[in-house]
Amino acid sequence: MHRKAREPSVMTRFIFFRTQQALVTVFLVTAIIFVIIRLVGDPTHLMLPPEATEADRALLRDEMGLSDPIPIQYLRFVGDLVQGDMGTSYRFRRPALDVVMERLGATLLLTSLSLGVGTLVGIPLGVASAVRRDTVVDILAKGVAIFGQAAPPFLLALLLVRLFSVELRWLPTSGYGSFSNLILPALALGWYSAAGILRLTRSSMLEVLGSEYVKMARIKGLPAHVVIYKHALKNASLPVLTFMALQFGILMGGAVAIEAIFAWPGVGKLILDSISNLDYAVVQAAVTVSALIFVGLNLAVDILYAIIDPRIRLG
Amino acid sequence: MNILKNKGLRALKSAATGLLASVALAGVVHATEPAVDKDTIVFATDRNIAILDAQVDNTGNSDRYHWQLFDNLYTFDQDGRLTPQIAESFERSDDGLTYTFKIRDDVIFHNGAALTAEDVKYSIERILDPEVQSTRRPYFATTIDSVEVTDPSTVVVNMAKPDAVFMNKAAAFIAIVPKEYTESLDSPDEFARNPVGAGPYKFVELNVGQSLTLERFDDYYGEKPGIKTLVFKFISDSSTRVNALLTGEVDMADKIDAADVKRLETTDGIDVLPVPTGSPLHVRLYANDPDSPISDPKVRLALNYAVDENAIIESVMHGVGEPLSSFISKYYPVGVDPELEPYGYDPEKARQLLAEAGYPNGFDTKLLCPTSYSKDVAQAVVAFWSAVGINAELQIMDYSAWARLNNTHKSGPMTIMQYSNAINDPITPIFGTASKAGTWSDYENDEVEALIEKTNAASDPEERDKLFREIGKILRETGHSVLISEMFYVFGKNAGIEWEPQRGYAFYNLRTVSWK
Repeated sequence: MHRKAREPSVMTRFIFFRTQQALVTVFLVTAIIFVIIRLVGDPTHLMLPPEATEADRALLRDEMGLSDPIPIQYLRFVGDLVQGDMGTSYRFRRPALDVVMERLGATLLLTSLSLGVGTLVGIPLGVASAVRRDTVVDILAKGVAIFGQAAPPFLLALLLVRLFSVELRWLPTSGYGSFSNLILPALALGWYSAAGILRLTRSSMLEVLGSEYVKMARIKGLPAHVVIYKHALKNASLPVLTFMALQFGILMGGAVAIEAIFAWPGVGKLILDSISNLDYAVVQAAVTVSALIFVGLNLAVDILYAIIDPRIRLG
Repeated sequence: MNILKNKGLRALKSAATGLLASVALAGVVHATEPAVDKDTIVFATDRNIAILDAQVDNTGNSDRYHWQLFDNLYTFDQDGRLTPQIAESFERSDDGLTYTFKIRDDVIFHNGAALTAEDVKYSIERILDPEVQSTRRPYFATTIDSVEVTDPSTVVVNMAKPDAVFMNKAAAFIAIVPKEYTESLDSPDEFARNPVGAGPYKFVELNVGQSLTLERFDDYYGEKPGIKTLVFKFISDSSTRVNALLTGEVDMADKIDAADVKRLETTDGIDVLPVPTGSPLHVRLYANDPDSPISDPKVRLALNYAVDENAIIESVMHGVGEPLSSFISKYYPVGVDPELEPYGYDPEKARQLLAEAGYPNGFDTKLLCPTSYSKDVAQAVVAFWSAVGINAELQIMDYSAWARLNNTHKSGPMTIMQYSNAINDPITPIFGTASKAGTWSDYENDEVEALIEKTNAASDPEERDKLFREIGKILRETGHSVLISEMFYVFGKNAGIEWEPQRGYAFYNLRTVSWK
């Protein structure tokens, strides 16, 4: 009884501590990107024609609020940030946060669907290849995994487009808005994701299948599918779940090339364009939002782990 | 992080695309039907369109919509010569200090308002207002003094000092916007999302990151477009643009990769149109650093003779190029001397010139190449130089970082670049790269300086032609830069489309595009 009553306070402290850490991380990321993007270049050089003089550029910098020293600009940025204002994009002539949020949906849709494909393919195939080790199923599954991890998603994307769009004309080459637009990008990115999930599922299944309690369950004469799906997979799925949460973040980053190939209006492509155009406000907003998502996911995983395995809270 | 990853993968990706291109293309049959219908053209463009204010946006972005949505006082014909648009005529005073424009009385804006001289005055003054953050301001800020409306169809522009190419700049950069409507908006930024112009197409919808839809403006005073709807689809990946063209999902596409040209040319139902931009691809030389070997004209000529531009154009640029015989592209309407010939490839002469200059064993140097130009071309140039003993270390740099260095004389001793033909008069590349005050100039020559001075007073095309021919010749004789190639925009289109493209940099003139 006594132990149980103390339990929430340890947990609360843990969550509080980790949340603090996460916010500090996001804060550091915004500070770093703020300075770096300003060191890369000056947008007025890209905006104005070569005929422009230094005086022309200075005037424009002034209008854009870029003529103050970087620390002062940063303080202004933080001051606006706490009020939910992330500045105005010079390219879009709109609040940078709006520009990012508009694109976030497209990226999240693609990322979650790819992770869905990855899970639906990766877990069953991983289990099958562990259970039927060294059979045709295993070799086939390993082939799927090796290709998915070795070939970058864009290569797969190009192959898929060539086959299904250009040769067979079944699906559009690119675009956004209908279900048919979603299939190829989700497949290309999902394969990459499936490869990792498959390999991890396979190895942790193998480990669990070799453990004493699974042997015990078998000796007791439980049906094979009960042993595999109820006893083994349940225990083997813990590391896989963690991996999937992290994969979500990785896929968000890895979607850039896929977004470009399929003209997918996502955040990755937006960040890329905004960096090459030195659209400071959008880069800052997009990085801040991405950092929040990434750190949030990590935080969720940490907490999940702590709930499942109390030993972690001590460390 | 993603950027680095992306760049690293780019080479692999182009290799993969090439590999795919060679696979089973025989099986591809192009769809000859329009993507939507014969009243619509879907145009795949490589860059996103973020805003629709041709007064604010720079040419590299406004190129796709300026010609469709907005009319100017004057414009350019297909060869780059001035031709009237909403002004019927103009008169330039002898001292070059006043321009008097007669405005047509039958021009209507997309919102139904009639265009008057007041709108013209407002449009010019809006560009000059620093708060609007117009990228066109530097072209006019020091030359325009004031704008007056003397009667509803007459506008007088008073100049602070003469500018011989004011009309070219006005034709390229002053989009006319309606005063009443624009003033009624809360901020300049709002116009960028709800543009109203007097061009042949009106704005329907901008789907940021995806597409822009325009519609024929039926009350347009001039020749009306032959299609009802024009849709720009933003497809940044060049292989995807080509695929979309092949499957008939789009009817036209821009920036076709040179590597894809031959393959598309042999595809039935697809036309490939290389359009000269009049912009010389060259190596900028920091010639006025006395400690540098490049300060010697003989060395600069040697750098030219050492490079086989024809080989570069044929094998590296996949034939999409033409050798330059002068820094003034042969696609300018003035200043082109047909007598001049390209330097040609003569490594023997290059070695001899180097020896005469005191560098019989060549020298070590550095070549910068921004990511916006072909790295392969830069590598080929470096290889040709090394064959005559010039050992140039190639440094590739991100365009956005390079632009700042290049604009502030810090991209030396040599960098690959081009000079865009934005106003169809060679004064921009000549003043920009060969006058003491030019942003990209590291070359000083009193004779050239005097000739440039003369062009400032010469607004007559024939006189300008003569002066620029002379300048072009001197620049060629003194090795002002290493000339590589003319540049082309390569468009792909469904063979059922009729289109007369506009020469020059960043001119997407889709006013006359239609289905046969």
